[in-house]
Amino acid sequence: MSVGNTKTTKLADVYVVTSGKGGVGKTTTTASIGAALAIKGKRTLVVDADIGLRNLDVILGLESRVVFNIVDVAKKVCKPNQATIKSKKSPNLYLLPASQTDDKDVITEEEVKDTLEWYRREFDFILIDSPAGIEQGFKNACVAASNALVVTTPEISAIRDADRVIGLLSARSIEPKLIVNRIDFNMVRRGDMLSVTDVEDILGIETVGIVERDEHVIVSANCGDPVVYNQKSKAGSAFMRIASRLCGENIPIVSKEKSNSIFTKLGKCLGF
Amino acid sequence: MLRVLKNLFSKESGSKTQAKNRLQFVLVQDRAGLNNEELASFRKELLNVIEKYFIVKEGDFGIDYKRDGNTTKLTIKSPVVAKRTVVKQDDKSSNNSYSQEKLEIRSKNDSASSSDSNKNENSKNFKNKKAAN
Ligand SMILES: Nc1ncnc2c1ncn2[C@@H]1O[C@H](COP(=O)(O)OP(=O)(O)O)[C@@H](O)[C@H]1O
Ligand SMILES: [Mg+2]
Repeated sequence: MSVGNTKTTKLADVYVVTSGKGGVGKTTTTASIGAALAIKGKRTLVVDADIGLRNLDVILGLESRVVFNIVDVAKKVCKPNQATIKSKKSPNLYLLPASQTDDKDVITEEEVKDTLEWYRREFDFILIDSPAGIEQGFKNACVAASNALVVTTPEISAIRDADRVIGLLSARSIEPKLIVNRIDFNMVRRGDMLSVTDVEDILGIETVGIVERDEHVIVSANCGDPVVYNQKSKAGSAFMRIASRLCGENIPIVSKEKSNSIFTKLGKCLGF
Repeated sequence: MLRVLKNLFSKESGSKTQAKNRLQFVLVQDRAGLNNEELASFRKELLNVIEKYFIVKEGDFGIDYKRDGNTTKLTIKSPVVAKRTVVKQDDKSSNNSYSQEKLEIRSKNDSASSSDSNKNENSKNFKNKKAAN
């Protein structure tokens, strides 16, 4: 791995992407924001910490190039730079894959921390894709992070689990930021889905991004091509904006949940 | 007819209101580490104390247990109708009848106790548990 010219002497900011509940979009978020940061010129490493259920490699279209993995690095089977895979699409994006054959607790928190320390000198950003749950796999994913992105969908079970995870992160002195994924503004407008404001209200943490339910996410997963390369897609541009915010750019969060329907206006006039 | 119209127009008509209320209830338990019975008796005892001094709008009485930065904040929301002119006697037998009612509804929803004798059992258990801690 060659060290790019753009890399400053600063150590990488390490983010864990987590949620408690499975299937809410952690892997999608990690891949998309990772690719977006790389497009913005940041040297970015995405780490698959979902040992035994490796997925980030296929979402990024890099599955055919996996040789070594995070467990190999931790157990010193290979050198750290031998395990990372460079993205076909961007010279700034690298993947450290999970092991597919091992068990979640084959590596300790100490080993994960030591392993990732080396990469911090090589990158601007490190995003760690956490497994679902709050057991050892989650702990391993958190141990090296000083920032967290909590992904939730506007659904009751996802929010409850997110709340649990936020509590656990706070106990580690990590102040997580919220990503509301797979929101459907039509459902919000008709009152059948919690709005972003509702979710913020309940969870009490700051939102860093809102991603709509978007078919392009599935299409891009099919092709192993992060959705941010399709900037016309709603999800792609939403992830791009989140990446900009992580870089410190001040991009306001706009939510389309305010209802403009004639019925609501009429309702307001009538005093309902 | 008016209700149908209102439902058509109102945001609050959808299922999200239910989701929000249910979540808030379950999160107070999760965050505070209280179970159904404990939360019910906590609520009941609080209401009793407040009602000694104030007449409150009972339907709006709420407990919230929320993170606020790195501290946790327990918020009791109790809209007051008026101050009582005479402080209510702390007498178990003359418990405010509608506070009992409200608690009963809650308990039923959460498949905890529904009969009075049962409820006394529960609050006793709670006290015992606390003593044991
Ligand atoms: N914004 C979105 N719109 C549509 N589908 C989505 C969106 N985000 C995630 N998905 C889909 O949801 C499923 C679960 O996503 P994934 O990222 O694998 O979740 P996790 O890693 O949390 O288990 C995938 O099939 C993915 O394509
Ligand atoms: Mg995943």
